[in-house]
Formats: sequence, C-alpha cells, structure tokens
Amino acid sequence: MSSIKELSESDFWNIICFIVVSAANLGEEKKEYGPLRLLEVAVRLIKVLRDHGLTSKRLDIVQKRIDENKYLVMTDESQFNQFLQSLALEIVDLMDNQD
Amino acid sequence: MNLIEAIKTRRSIRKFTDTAIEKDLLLELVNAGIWAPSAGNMQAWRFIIVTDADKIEKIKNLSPGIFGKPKAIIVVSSDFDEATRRSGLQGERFAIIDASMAAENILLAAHDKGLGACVIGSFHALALQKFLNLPPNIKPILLIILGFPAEAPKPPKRKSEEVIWWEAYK
Repeated sequence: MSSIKELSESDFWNIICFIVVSAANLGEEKKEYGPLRLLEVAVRLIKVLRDHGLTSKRLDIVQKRIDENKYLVMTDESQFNQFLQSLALEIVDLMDNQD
Repeated sequence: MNLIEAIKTRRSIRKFTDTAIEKDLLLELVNAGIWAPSAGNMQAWRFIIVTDADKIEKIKNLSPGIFGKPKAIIVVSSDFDEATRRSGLQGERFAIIDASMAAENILLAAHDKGLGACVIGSFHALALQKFLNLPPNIKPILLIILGFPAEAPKPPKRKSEEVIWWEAYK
C-alpha cells in the first residue's frame, strides 16, 4: 500500500475512462444506469483512497451499502430507487462522523 | 449436467476468483457458440477472445457494464457485410439474433464447466472496435465476461403466466 502522497495519474485514469465512456453511453441506456454509474464511481474512488492508506468508517459504510444494493437495478428498480433515497439520508448522519 | 438444470441454475456472475482459465477451455466454449443455429446457416459471427490482463483492464475502461475482474472476455461480434450479402435487408437483424444465440450456448457451456459468466451490453461499440482493430464491417454485439465464480447470486423472480399465451395474444 502506498501513501496518499503517492497518488498518481494512473490511479485515476481508469475512473476517468469510466466516467467519459459512461457519459457517451448513458443517453441511450435505461435511466437507472445513470445512478448506477455514479455509485460505481463512488466505490472506485473509495478503493483508490483505501489503496493509498486513506480509510474511514464512513467510507467503508458507504461502499458496503453500495456493494450490497447496486444490483437491485437489475432486479427491482423500485427497491433500487428506495435504496438511493435511503443512502442519501444516511449520508446526512455520516457527515459529522469522520472516523 | 442436465440441460434444463443448466438453464435454470445459470446465473449472471460478476465476481470472479483469481484463477486463470485455460485457453483450451475458452476454445471449447466458443466452439459451443458456433454450434448455435444461424439464419440461413450464414455463420456471420466472429469471436475475439481476450485473456491478457492489461487488455481486459482497457476493455473495462470502454465498458461501464463490466464489474469485477474477469479473467477472460469473449467479444461476440458479427460481420455485417457478410450478413447483408447472405441475408439482404434482414442481414443485420439476423446477425444480432445469431450472435445472441451463440452467446447463450457459450453461457450454458461455461456454466457446465464450472465457470461464471455475464453478458455485457453496456460498452462503447465504436471505441471497442477501434481498440480491437476490428474493421468497420465487424461490429461487436455483446461481451461475455468469464472467470471462476466468487459469488452465488440468488435467481431473480421469473415472469411465467403473464408472458405466455396459447394460440393468440389476449
């Protein structure tokens, strides 16, 4: 594991590609894939931070919640949307807990 | 494995172990694909098998639908020139149907061999074409990501009565 000071361009390159190609594709994909891609970016950023020694309880919580629920988009759009709303509310509780 | 059992127990797998897949096994899967039916026996499908980790990572960058770290990707493509030559105005439609039937064979063969797989439709077709050096007439239709499964997802509910009619739609 390297330190946060050793972050390099390549740490973010894959994420940048993901964002750009998603932007190119999303206009023709089902609308729930927009939120799904954003959640994926959040997880990828958390992983880059973790790989460089920057972790926190709240980042772990957000990643866990996303990993556990993101595939609802494939099986139950209504539950997926409920999950998005509940995660947004959970973020409020996590705002002042930077452990 | 019994065929109906294979059909019913296959799942879309998106998490994989680090175990590599032997090339012979990948060839066996693709050979299952080419035994699928095709319109007028045109066999316009083309399969690009990618196992190089660096290339897989780059394909992931062009394919937001890919999650996890697959050990192989089969790019199921079609030669649209040949499809049009063989099947006229219906050629492109048939090419997509044929590629999809080949893909299902590959998915079932993969499941039978203990592999996990998932069909990916979210990719940038033109960018992928460029990356794989595909000529303009060879178009990627779908990707199949493969690896040994690191998850065992539950099956989503299947619609049954509400999607079946006898004799005519009511």
